[in-house]
Amino acid sequence: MTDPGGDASDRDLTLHARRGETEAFGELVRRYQTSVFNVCYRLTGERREAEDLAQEAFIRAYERLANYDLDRPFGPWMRRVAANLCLNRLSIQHPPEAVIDEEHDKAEEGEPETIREQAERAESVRAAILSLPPHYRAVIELRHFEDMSYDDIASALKIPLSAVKSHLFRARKILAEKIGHELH
Amino acid sequence: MPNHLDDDTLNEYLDSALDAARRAEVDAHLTACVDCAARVEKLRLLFTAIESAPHAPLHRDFSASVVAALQERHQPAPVLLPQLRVAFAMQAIVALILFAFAAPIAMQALPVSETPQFTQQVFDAIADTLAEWSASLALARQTVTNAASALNDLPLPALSLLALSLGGLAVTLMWLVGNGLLITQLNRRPTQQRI
Repeated sequence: MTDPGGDASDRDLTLHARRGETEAFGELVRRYQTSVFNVCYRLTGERREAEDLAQEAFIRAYERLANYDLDRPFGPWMRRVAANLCLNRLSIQHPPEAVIDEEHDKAEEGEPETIREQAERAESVRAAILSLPPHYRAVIELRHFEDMSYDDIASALKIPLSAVKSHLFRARKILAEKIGHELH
Repeated sequence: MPNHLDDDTLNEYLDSALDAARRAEVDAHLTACVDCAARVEKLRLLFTAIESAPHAPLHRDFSASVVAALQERHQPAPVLLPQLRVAFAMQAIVALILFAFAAPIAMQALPVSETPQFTQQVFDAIADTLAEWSASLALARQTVTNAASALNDLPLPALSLLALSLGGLAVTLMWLVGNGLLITQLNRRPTQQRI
């Protein structure tokens, strides 16, 4: 088996992985695990569950590599797989209320003031997103982080187009109320 | 100035969800209306804040566990344990020995008076059928007949019913041990690794 290193392109790694070289797929996991985890975290609002779902998403993606179009970037496809997995999971179980992992996500002590302010601002945005009801989080995730159109979101969530707009605009209004004072 | 743009329109404008004609109208309105321009700018800042939110940190690298799970799922068929191979071989050997001793006894025990030359009749019928199919299979008939004769010539060992029972018990024990090992090996392989 060849050993595709860290310099290999996503396309090369995917080709190796398609031939059954799981180590090549492991390198793709290393590259995208944080962004995929964040998709799951934003949708579930729970860190531990997000980690489990992210790993499951990678395994699911590996099983579907044959259907992946090599001419398209791997990252967005991978995040879409994760989003679909989370949405399916949210639809079949009652989602837990979002609880932010304060312990881990707080800005580190001792950082310069400006950096800490930026981190706190970012954290408040993330907290505001996680505080949204699950169906609002879903449309925010798919529109703002997965860049999906209204029609695609309606299809993914299996809801009418009017509901997509309603959820999305309402979610933005709530976010604006929560973090509006920080927008400048 | 005509009516201000509603919130839905501003959202759809920034989402690039308006058709060209409607978008041109909104562009024209925003150029002329300071209030709506301020509202759309505030909404744009919200979009930026949402999309620029940094990733939550991931505190562990789970690539190794994903790779391990994939290798677990896609590993080749398991190779039999050495103990299992020995158990299967012993099973086969004991079964053959037992058969070799039991067959003559069983043949002798057949009620010969009621079914005279039963074995020979069966062999003959098989040989005849084969011979009808092809002349080349005549050799098979001779072979089968010879085998039957040789079987009849075997010296009968002095085996009691107790010895036969003990032999059967040995085979049963070997069978249980072999399958027990097989089940143990299968149970040792989880169907899905917890990751």
